[in-house]
Amino acid sequence: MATYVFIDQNIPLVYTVETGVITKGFGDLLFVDVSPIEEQIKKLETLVDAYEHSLDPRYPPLNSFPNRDGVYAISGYFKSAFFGFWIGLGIMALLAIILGVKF
Amino acid sequence: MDATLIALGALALSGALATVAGCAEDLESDVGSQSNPNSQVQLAPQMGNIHRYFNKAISGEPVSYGLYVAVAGTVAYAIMQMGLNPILALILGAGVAAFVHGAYAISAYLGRIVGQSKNFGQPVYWDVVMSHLGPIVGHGFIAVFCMVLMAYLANTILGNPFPLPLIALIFGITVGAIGSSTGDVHYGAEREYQKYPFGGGVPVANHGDIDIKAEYGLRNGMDSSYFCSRLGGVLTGLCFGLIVFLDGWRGVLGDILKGGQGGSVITASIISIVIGLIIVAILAIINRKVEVFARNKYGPYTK
Repeated sequence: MATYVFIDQNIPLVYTVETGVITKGFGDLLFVDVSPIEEQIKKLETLVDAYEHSLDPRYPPLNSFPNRDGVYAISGYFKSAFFGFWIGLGIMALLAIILGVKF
Repeated sequence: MDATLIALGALALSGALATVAGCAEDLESDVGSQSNPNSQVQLAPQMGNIHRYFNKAISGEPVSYGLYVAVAGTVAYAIMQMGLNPILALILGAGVAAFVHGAYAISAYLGRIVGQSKNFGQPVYWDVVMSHLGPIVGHGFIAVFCMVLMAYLANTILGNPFPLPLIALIFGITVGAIGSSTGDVHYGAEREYQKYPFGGGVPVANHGDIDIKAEYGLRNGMDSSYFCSRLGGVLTGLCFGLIVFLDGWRGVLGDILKGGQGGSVITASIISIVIGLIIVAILAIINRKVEVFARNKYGPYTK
């Protein structure tokens, strides 16, 4: 015996589990226009791609002006330069003061 | 005890402190929309953009930071004259300056926003005041403490002849000027006008038309500081640290290269001036390269 799932009681919309077919009532095949759903899925996919690419510094941010690929990488260089300069100066200060007090 | 090495160490420590101070100062001014961007934030309600920015400019950044650091230096100097530990005195001075900072921030915000309320419908958001005050005072404390410690080092180890409050005033004006000229360009022209193409400056037609929407919800000062902590703040710190370090380094180098104890002061000065000119020339070339690169890559200009 076939198993049915009622998607909507009012229409009524029925999903036949064994064949995977959605029908109106028991028997009439239902043709649904899926292009609006595909559009929404495409929109969602661009957002998901942008979200994934935001973790990769080679890609530009979403909705940015042209030629912005690599801006995350450039800002990353400057941030590293900042910390390198800062830590280098700290180590240099420590070494110079230790050597200066010793000798 | 080698005096040159100790001086070099104090110089490197000053450079590290200046790096932190510049970064904290710029982020603080971004939370509070202090320097260059404040006129646009002030203008926005008159152009119909009701915003949630904190707007706390009591004056330009150099002058206000001169005030805060001079307050900290004066209090620290007074406490040191009473015979307390210098580090404790510096911390207490920076704490008093933080209270002064907070009081000015609140009064400036309320005064500026209430002035816009009646005619242009800009509300006073009390949650903006309460949530932004902590970062402003906290970053301000870090910046002021680093500057006052630098002034103390300059006074005691590097042999600056002026008293501590005066050095603190001059250093405060310097850090404010660097934060205003380096970091606030990133906040003002880039962040508030993100919807306009890069490189056009801010034409009069766009004045007051600042971005009021953030990545999520309405934009406030915290989002600006989050944005600026990636590039603007660190570049301000790097700039100020390089200025302090390179400027002192050429003096130390002149002292070493003049030929030990035998060389004259004039030789050392000439050597350090020549080194300074070489550094300026190198930086000018790098600036030109960066500008041409940015205009070619990002700008809408055609040949």
